[in-house]
Amino acid sequence: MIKLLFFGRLSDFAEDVPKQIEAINISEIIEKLESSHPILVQELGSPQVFVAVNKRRSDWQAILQSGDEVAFLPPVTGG
Amino acid sequence: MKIRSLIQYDDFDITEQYEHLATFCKYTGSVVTFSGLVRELDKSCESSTIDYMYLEHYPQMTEMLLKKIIDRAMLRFNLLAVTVIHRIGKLKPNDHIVFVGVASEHRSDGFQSIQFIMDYLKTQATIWKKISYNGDCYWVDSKKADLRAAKCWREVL
Repeated sequence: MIKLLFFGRLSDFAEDVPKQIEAINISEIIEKLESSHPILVQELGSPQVFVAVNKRRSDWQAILQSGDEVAFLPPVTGG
Repeated sequence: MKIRSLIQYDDFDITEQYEHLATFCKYTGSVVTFSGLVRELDKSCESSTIDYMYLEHYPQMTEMLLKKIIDRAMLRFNLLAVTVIHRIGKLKPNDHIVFVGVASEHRSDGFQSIQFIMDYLKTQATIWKKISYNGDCYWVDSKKADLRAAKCWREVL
């Protein structure tokens, strides 16, 4: 199982997304969310959104293993 | 401690942080500090006073990124001590958000490194701001000017 996290404005569209999901890569996560959460998936398609696997920035083609944590991160605004 | 890097809910005491930087090393000839505050009025809020600001972060990833930013600053500039404190949670207008302070032998390293740390903190650290005003909430958008400023340093973290 892959742990899912959504931050910033993405969290507003992901309130009822399962906390864990079966997937072997990030594309599969997105495919699984497509029908139930179309607005979230549209937001994830923004070129400004980036992804982290196990708290490290990753590319979207990363292969996942059970126990991995995948976080979807919109542009940061701290400071 | 040469490096202080903290993500915390609690407020910080600027005088205490300054004292630490000023007395940490006998070679110190300059202490430069920056503190960011919650604006009471924000242009995006149609002249209404902000009710509160909420800051969210990605625990552990933010700390790792802060460490990376500080490490890069220490490599690039001649620094004797660095303190970065970023608050999270619910903040009121005029509350402190962030403190960055550096001790160095000379002022140039101090001024430039504060700018460097803030430019990367604003564009790399996994922190997000949400503003509430008039009972409405919105997530703050990132600014192109911040991205341009960070790009000028030509450093890939």
